Amino acid sequence: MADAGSRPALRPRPRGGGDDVRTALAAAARAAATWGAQPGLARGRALLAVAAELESRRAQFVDEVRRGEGLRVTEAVAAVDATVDDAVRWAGWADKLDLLDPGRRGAPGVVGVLAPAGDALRAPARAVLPVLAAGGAVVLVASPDVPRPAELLGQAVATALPAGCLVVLHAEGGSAEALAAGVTRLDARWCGGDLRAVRRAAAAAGGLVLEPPAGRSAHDLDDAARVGPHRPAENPWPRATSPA
Amino acid sequence: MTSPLPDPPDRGAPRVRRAPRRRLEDAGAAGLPALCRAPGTGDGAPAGAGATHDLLDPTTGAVLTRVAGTTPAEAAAALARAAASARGGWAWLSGEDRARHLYALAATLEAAVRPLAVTAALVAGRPVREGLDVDGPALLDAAFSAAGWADKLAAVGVRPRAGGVVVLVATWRTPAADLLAAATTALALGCGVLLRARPAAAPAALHVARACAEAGLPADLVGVAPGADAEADAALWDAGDLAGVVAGGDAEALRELALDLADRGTPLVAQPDPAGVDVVLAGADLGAACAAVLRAVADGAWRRPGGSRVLVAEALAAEVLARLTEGAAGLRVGHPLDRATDVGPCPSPELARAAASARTRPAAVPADLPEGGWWALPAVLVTGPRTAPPPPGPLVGVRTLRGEAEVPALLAGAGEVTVWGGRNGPGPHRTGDRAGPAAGLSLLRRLGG
Repeated sequence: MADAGSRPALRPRPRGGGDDVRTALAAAARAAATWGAQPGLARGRALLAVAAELESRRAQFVDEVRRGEGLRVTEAVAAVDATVDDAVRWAGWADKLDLLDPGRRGAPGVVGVLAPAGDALRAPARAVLPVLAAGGAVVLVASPDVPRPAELLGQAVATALPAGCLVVLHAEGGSAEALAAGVTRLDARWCGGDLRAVRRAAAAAGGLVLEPPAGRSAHDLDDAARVGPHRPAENPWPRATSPA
Repeated sequence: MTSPLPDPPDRGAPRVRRAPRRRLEDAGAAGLPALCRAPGTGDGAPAGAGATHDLLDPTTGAVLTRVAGTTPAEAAAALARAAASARGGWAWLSGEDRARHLYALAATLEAAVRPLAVTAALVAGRPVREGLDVDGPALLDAAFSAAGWADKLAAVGVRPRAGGVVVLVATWRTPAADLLAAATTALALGCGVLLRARPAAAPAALHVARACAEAGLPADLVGVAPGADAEADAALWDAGDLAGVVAGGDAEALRELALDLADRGTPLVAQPDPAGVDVVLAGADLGAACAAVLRAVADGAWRRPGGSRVLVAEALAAEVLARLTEGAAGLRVGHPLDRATDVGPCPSPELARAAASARTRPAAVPADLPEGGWWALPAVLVTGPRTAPPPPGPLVGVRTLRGEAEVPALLAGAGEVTVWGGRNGPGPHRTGDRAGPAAGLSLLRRLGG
């Protein structure tokens, strides 16, 4: 038996390097198989439990959002409450997705999400919840400056959903590109900035990058627009974004 | 008021002996009072001038409990209280807040599953096993699913009908899941709810109203007005706060109700008693098809109050008939509180009489069943062009098809149709299903603005 003292230190969370991304994708794929096989009502009940968990840790979320984003307490409370409302909302959509997205053929599998630099809780939650409601799993690259709210979101999800349904990675050099190369859908609608390298990586792997909507915020997207693009395509190549 | 007891359905046939009955579920779980009355009407005093109805035990024909009918004034007052509660404490809530309350209701209902199952067993002869294992999960699913509409009205293009009251007419054949789906949908729209429970549905309606109160919904938001008085009905249909009516029943009763509501233009969601038809064509999985038909036979009038029929392709008819006959003979008729029971007594003496008269040969009622009950034994009856389909109950009529072209004409009036086999694959292919999110959205749109 190896000496315990010689073991490498356990890392509290995935950092976002290439190996971490691959590990996260494997865990998410396993979780997606289990989670996607659940009936819609079971997924809805689990998401409602996530909403209850978020609400029970409201003060902690408010504190982290205030610290991370420098918001007033009223703004942070509004952001956390809106996130809880979103979780409740998507809990209710879980058994009704065929009505929301009539072309849906099944669970979306593993979806990658890039979180924006600001808006560290609400934006990731709004990106993640539709995927979870549809039976998919998410690998989320958290905000590089304010990762803590996204990590807490991951913990809340883990209380009610199978492990791996939401894996939160730290944004490190190349993590977004590595994630883009490993998924068929990378949701980058919530973050601005230069996505050329990400688009190249996705295109090379046959994936699709969901771009920020032109001229408006991703927060303005309706529910159908939030969940529809995660629909699994038979052949993602024709819709893949070309490298700039 | 006492319904006449039926003629013994199996007169002339010996009563057969079989293994002793198992321990019965505790009837006390139903919490049936000696007199069921609407909350807030005449507690401790004679209940208004409304008629009092005797509820009979379908296993013995003896009086189980009594139901105090609601007078027209009491019914109108209950509706006004629900409207005031909706305006004062419900309609102004955001959709998100209403959704939270309704999810809390869905969670609270878990505690009501057993009382509702035992109540259905005592009042309507529904086997308690089915009530606990099938109806219970179905009602929880229905309430949860309907709760989810509250914060999505704009997303599906439905305007709230804030402050009105939706009246739900409940009968013994209204499944708890349908009742909860309709009530929760109305609440999701911002309405109050009044359960106009016919006498046999009154105990279940009181359980539902109690669960709503325990879930923290505003007082009087969900009211109960038991009874069958036509004048009380008319008082409800004339109420200014009436936003819609959801009612089941036979086609003629629903047509009369539609006429009553037509002058004011009140929306009516009519849910006609479904006649269930299974169509078995070449390529069907006969095992699955026959198992489903036998479940329908066991559910009897409870699930298919319009009766149950099978249309089977000629080449398969002999095998299907043999399987169904053997399966029906294996269904255990027994006390509805016995978990081993597949088929309980009929919900009314009239149905028991009709089922007995539809049989061509007398059959023996097991000797361990209480005498005086409204028992009907499961049976598979062969029907043809000149024979009427069997009445509702643990009966199924099997008719042979000469060709698929016959099917459309034979499906006239059918509520739920399940096709097994045929050109679309083995199936089952279903139409007319009242459950599921699509049916929920349809109900939402019909009640919504």
